[in-house]
Amino acid sequence: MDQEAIWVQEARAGDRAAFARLVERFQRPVYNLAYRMLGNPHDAEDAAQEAFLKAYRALSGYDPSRSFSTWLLSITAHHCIDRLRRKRLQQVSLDGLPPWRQLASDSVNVQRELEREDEGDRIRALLQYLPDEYRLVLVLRYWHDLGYSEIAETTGESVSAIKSRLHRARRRIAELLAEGDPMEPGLPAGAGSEQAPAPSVGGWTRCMQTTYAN
Amino acid sequence: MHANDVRELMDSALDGGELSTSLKELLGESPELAAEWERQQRVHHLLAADPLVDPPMDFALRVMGRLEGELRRAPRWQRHLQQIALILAGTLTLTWSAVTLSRHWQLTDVGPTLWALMDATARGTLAMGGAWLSASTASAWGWLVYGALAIMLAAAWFGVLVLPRSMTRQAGSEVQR
Repeated sequence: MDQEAIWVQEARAGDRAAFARLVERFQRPVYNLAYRMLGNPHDAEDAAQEAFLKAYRALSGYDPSRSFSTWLLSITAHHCIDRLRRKRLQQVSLDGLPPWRQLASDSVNVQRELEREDEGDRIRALLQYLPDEYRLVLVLRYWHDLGYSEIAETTGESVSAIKSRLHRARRRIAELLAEGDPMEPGLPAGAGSEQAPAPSVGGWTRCMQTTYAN
Repeated sequence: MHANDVRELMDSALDGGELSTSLKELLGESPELAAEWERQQRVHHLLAADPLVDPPMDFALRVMGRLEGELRRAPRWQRHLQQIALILAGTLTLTWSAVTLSRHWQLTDVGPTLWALMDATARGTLAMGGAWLSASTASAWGWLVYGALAIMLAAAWFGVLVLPRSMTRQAGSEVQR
């Protein structure tokens, strides 16, 4: 049995020190998921903390045959989506804007994001204009390095739905980028070659390596 | 080839698979497809290159602090029950006290039915009362005891109903900072 499984078992038996170790171990991936989903550090920290509290309360229902990290990310993802929905409902009720006005103001905001200098900044900002479910699959794929089946397990969707969302999400980002960049100048190094490298530099592996290093 | 098949081939290549021969041929034949493939690759590389962010230094400590705070508090249903019981008890006590004193000093002139009801309540309260009710026969003491009771109840309500909410909000804003 590996160390993580031992901590999970101890935490399920009520050992708070073991849960604290799990928090330390998984704080980076959970915080990163919340950060990419919510788009700002304040909301991300609050949501990530709440996700850990939810996980603690739900520990008795955790199935040890499942991966703990996938289970934890699933709680975080659902919590972030609920939070975004609540926020949106509040905004709609406060603003009282008709849908076409909201779309118009979104388009102005997208244009503002496209004026950013750095392409990384731009893509990060544009993520916030994707539907929540699309953004979630992109975040899990690129920043957590999960495969289709792991993303499907985390989100509770089918593998084919995940593939389709991933494709649409990438395509939507490409469209948004193209809107502000009609000439589409030079691609990043490596792009345009026939073999696209897997995004192994990003994601889960990086999260975990850095956590261990700390 | 169907559009969905092309999409599948592109996604598979982007997600770590081989760029198939059939896709290579299609890209060579169709400039639109080649442009689409370049756009997808560009997004893929930008996403893959974006760095991870670090959580705040004391993140784990804050989570555990919040957890300890939550575990120390009574369960929500128990807190709600306490609050409801306190509100009911407070309202009843204040009403009875007000009615009793009004009856005793004949401060109010209400309709006969309500008066009878108040009278009965006052008599019942007087019968059950004890030390403070005998004290209430002296007007100054009565008002003093009634005032003290009202202040105590207000303090209890504030402690049980208002303080926990403001403390929760404060904790939330501290977490946000």
